[in-house]
This record gives sequence, C-alpha cells and structure tokens, in this order.
Amino acid sequence: MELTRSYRNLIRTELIVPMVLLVIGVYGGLMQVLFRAGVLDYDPLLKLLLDTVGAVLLVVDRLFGRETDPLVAALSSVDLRSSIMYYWSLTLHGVLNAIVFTTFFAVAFGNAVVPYFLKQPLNTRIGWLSAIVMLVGTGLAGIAMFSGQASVLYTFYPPLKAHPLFYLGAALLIVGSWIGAANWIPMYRRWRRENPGQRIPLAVMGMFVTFIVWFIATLSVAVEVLLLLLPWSLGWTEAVDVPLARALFWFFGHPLVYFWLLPAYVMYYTMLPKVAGGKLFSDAAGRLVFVMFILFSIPVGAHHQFADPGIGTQWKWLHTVLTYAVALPSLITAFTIAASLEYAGRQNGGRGLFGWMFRLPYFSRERWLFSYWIAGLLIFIFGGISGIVNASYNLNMAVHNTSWIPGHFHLTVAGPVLLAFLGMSLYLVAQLSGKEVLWRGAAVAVPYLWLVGVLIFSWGMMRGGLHGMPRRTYLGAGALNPDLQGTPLYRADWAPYAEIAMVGGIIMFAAMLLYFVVFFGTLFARRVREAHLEFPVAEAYHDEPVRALNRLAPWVATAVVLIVLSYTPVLYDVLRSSFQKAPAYLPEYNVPEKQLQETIRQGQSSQPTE
Amino acid sequence: MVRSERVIFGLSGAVMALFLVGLLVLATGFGVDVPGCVTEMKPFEQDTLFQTGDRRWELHVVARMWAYQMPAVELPAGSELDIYLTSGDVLHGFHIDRTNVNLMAVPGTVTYARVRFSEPGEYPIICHEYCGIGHQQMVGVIRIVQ
Amino acid sequence: MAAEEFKPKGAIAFFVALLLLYAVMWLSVYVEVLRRG
Repeated sequence: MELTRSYRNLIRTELIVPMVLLVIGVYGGLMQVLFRAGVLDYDPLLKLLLDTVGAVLLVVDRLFGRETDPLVAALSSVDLRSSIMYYWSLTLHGVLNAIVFTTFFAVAFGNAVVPYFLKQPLNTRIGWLSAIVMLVGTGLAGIAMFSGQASVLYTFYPPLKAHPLFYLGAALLIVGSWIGAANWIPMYRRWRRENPGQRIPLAVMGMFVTFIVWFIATLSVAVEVLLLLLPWSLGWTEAVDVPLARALFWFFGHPLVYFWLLPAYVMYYTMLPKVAGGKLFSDAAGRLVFVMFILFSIPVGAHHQFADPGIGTQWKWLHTVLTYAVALPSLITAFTIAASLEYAGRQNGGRGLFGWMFRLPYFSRERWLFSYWIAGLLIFIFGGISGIVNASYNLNMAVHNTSWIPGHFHLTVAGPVLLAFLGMSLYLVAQLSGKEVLWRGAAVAVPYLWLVGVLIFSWGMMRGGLHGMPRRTYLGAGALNPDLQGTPLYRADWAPYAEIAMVGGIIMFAAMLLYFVVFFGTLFARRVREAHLEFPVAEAYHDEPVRALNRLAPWVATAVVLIVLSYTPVLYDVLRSSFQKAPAYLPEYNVPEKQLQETIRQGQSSQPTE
Repeated sequence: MVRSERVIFGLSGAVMALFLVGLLVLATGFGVDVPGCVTEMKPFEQDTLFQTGDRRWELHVVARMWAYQMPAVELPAGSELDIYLTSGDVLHGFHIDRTNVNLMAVPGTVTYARVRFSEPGEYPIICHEYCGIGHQQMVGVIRIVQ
Repeated sequence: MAAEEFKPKGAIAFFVALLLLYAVMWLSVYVEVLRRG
C-alpha cells in the first residue's frame, strides 16, 4: 500500500500530539496520589514553571522598558495551595487521559487499520479536516481548563459551570471524530463493490462497531453539551435541568468505555494471536462479540445512576440485567484469547493443562508488542469483576462514589486500554517514521512495571473505598490532612489505603516515564528505513463464516429498539421528578454566579469616585 | 459455535443468572434496595427531624456548599430513620459510613432512603460528589446511643 | 500423523478458575452489603 507523506503525517499527528498531552495528564496523576495522602500540598513543578515564566516575562519587560505585564501579577497570584488546584489537576487528568488521548488514538488507529485491511487509500483531505477539528476542540477546551476556568472534572456535571470554551471544545473534539469515522464509509463501499460476498475483515468490523457505538452514544452528550450546557454557560438560559443533564451524560458515559475497549479487542483478536506465535481460536467468536457490543453497549447507562434520585428502581433493575448481558462478550473474549494463547503455547512446546502459559513471548524484544497486550489482559481480570460488582444493582450501594470506583477504572481504561494504546502508538509511530524502536528491553519492561503499580494502586483504592474513603476528594486538605489529626474530620482508618495507593501511583508514574523515554527517543532517533505500515495479522483456527454476523444493519436496528425501550422510561422518570432547574455555580464560590456578579457590580457602583 | 464455546457461553450465562437471583433476594428478601423515583415530595429548604412512630423518625436534609443543613441527630439504638434529601445548590453526595445509605443530592429533585441503626456509635456522613473548593471539608454525623 | 483437532482444555480450566475467582470476589461484596443492612 502506498504511503503518501500526508497520510503518514496525519496518523503521526493524531498519535504524537495526544501523547504530549498525556505527559501532562500522567504527571497530574502523580500529584493526585501525593496530594490525597497528605504528603504534598502544592505542586513543585508547577511552582517552578510559573516562577520561571513570571521571571522571563519580567526580564523581557525590563529589557524593553515596558510596564510589567499584567500576566506576571496573575501568575504570582495563583495560590498553589488552594484546594481548587487539586480539582484543576484532576479535571486535566480525566479529560486529557480519558477523553483526548483515547479519542485521538481510536481515530488514528482506524485510519491505519481500515485502509490496510481494505487495501483502499484514505481520503487525507477529510482525514486532516477531522484532525484539525479535533485539535481545535482540544485547544479550546485546553485553554478553559489550563486557565482554571473549567475545574469541573471530566464529567462536567452542572450546575457547576465551566467556561463556554470548555463545552465548545468538547463538542468539536467529538464532531471531529465523527468526520474521521465517516471518512471510512466511502472506502468500505468501494471495497464492497470490488469484493461482493466476502466477509468484512475482522479488524475493520471491530473499528466500525467501535464508531457505530460511539456515534449513537455521542449524540446524547452532544445534545447535553450543545442544547443544555453551552447556552447556559453563555448566559443565554438562566438555569439548567440537572437530572436531565446527568441522564444524557450517562447515556453516553457507559458506551464510552466500549469506545475505549473495542480498539484493544481489535488488537487482541486480529493481531495478538499472531505475535504470540499461534492462531485466533475462532473468527466467529470475534464477530459475535462485536455484534453483542452493538446490541448491549448503550441501553445500560442507568447503572451509573443507581444512587441517583428520580429514576425508578424497576428501570435501574432493567439496566442491571442489560449490563449483565454486556459482560458476556467480554467473558467470551477472555476465553477466546486464552484459547488462542493456549494454541500458541502448545505450538511452542507447552504440555499439560497449563504448560502453555509458560511458553509465551512475555519478555521477547522482537515481539515486544506482546507484553503490552498480555499485561493489559492480566490487569483486566480484576477490572472485569470490579465492573460486574459496580453493575450489580444494590451492591453498588457499597461502592458508589467511593475510591473503589477509580480503583476499578484504573484496572480497565488504565489497564488493557492504556497499554494497548501505548504499545500500538509506539509501533505505528516507529513504522510510519521509518525508525527502529529504541531500547526494546525498556519497552518490554514498561507494561509489567505498570502492572505492578496499578494493581497496588487499585488495591489501596478499592479496599479504602470499602471503608468509605471517597473518590474525587482532596483528602490531603480534609480527612487526611496531617494538621487535622485528632479532629473529627480526620480519618486515620483511611490513611493506610491512601498510602498504598500512593506507592502504586508512584510506580505507575515511573513506568510511564520509562515509556515516554522510549517513545520520544524512538521518535527523535535517526531514520533507518523507508516508512511502512504493516500489521501482524492472525489466521483463524476456526474460520467458518456465520451469515447472521456478516451484516451490521439489522443488529444496529435492534440496538436502537433496545435503546428506546430501556431509555424512554428513564427519561420519563427524570423529567417528571425534576421540579426546578438550577442556576450556574462556580466551584470557588458557594453562591450562584449571578448573585456573585450582582455583588461585584454593587461593590463597584458604591466605590467612591477618584 | 464449537463445543468449548457453547460450554463457556452456558457457564457464563449460568453464573450471571445466579448473581442476578442473588441480587433479587438481597432487594426483596433482605430489603437492601437502591433509591427510587420520588415525586410526592418537592425540593425543600428547611431541614427537620421529627418522630413518626415508636423508634421511627423522619429526617429532612438540605445539602449545601459546603455543609449539610441538618439538625443534630442523636437517636437510640434500634431506631429507623426515613431520610429525605435534596440539594440547595449543586450536586452533593450523602454516604452514611457503615450503612447502605449512599445517595446523591440533586438540585431540583428529592431522594429518599430508609435505614435502621441497630448498633450504637458515631456514623459519619461523607460528601463524595465534587461540589467545589470546600468539598473535602463537607461532613456530617449521626449519633446512635444505647 | 493425522492432525488432531485442537481442544482448548487449558483455556477452559483457566476460564472456570476465572469464574470461581469472580464468584468469590462478588460474594465478598454481597456479604459486606448484608452486614451493613
């Protein structure tokens, strides 16, 4: 396949820019575990950065004999010990890591996989349009977040209000991703015409399912952002229906996790067996799994709202049953991948019931991608069960909004998903740049170091959560503030868990540092060959076609019916139990923003004139 | 589907079904349920605590930035409490330590939970939904005495 | 030698162990919720 310069640069941009942002998000994660444990109460690197920028601006102003830049005063007035800094950092961590990095990767990976397997060239003009829209959106949201005007966390629940650029930026990021996926449709149609009756390549089916689920899911959050939140943040509407906003968000919020998982599943089904030295146990299993995700990814969102008012218990129960249905394709995946690895292990001489487990390329430098996938799968063992617990209706009462929740999702999005995305980003960037992956020993070590760190982190967070330790809370200034020991607010029983999480978080940070060294080292190394693009493609052991799994449209139609059935009663309940809308609040003040503005205005008008 | 896949599918389905039965038993047999849809009470601005029966009380709480507006609650062991909760401003959480009371306080709507305190002791209430700069200081307490 | 069909006995054993682990972990949360009720 011919690789034009534009095509290569498109994918590289979509992989490298988010990787740079991930550095910031990952650093934020380190700060969070240190702040939570009450070990740090300000960010020393941020202080260094602000002081340096301030000093540089001062020098420049002096050199040019100018008045001191007001930005200098603004920078030095930032109170690094203010509690809001924790939530500022947490917002960046969630948005950059879980929304920006993941969305860009999914589009970039699709841009590589779809042309490769369909043997059709990508329309790079539309591709670049998509990338630019996503980049602009990220930039706008970034301005709002970095300037401290969007410390609302990645779920941005109203009536805490962010700057309009945050909502606009988020909407653009999503729309850009739609354009990126729509770009693949003409390629698919051409392929269909040229290959009538052939099964769609499994990897392409996986990416298409990823974006079908994404498109349906993001319709809801687009409505929330564009119709409810953006006009409200611009002051065009007075107040917002909070329960409605939440329901719309969580319609999106659960399929979001499959948007994250599915590209990793594409790698597990179509590439991992080859790299492991074997075959995919069953092609039909992969197709069945993808079809089940079309059906069950979306009509389940109320399991994120078990503790919410305004939604009847019978609908919460319905969503529980449907969520248990969506657990099935992941369980099937666990078996299918295990069977594929068993095949590979036995090819390699493994004997007995479990001998094959020891005949896999865990530490191979040539097959370094394997380490990213296997470490992710091992982490996912614990991610899966913690997710099933979350989805278990009344069991949720023990874990909702406790630190169990981030304990769970660092075993999923920061487990199999992150590692698959990191491994593939390195793989693609190296190939498309004609570079050799540097320091493969370090590259192979990263996923295992990460595995140790994240298991320790999540252990601390989940055990702490079962003791009532909350998530999304700057404990170091509250219940774990060393200065508050002996007061009723202090919770000595949580301290060990926050400390365990801190140790885990430090190890995770070390793993990421090592990864960034390998990634950027590879990126800036000398070119040693022509740019190319190829994937390790697995053959299937059981390869019989299943007709019902060949066409997506009937399954999508069924999914829409399921969504209507599962969500109509939820939305009906939400609307009839919501009695008044809420005005905007800023996180720093406990009065509505409107009242704040009134107070400022009155204060100004009562100033004596100079 | 080959035989091993059928076995796996069947096993998975059976385990999940068993779990679901367990959850139903927990809800209907042991009375542990999730909050439902309250429409008979509208959002209120007054907090209150009053007795409604022998060892039964009703509590109304308004969650605000950054403290719960609620009366001091000190009740004898064995008391049942009907809690109605709303928010006076933004989202808040309301998690009573060592119980299954885990609620979201949402402005514009009311939520409800019933809890029985059989053991004496102090039951801290934690706000676990981000509600602004003072979120980490937002706590309450329910005291149960002999 | 005729090619024998590959039967993933090891994967089935792994999967059964996985389900058992899941049941134990799920039950421990169930018991905790019962305790708090």
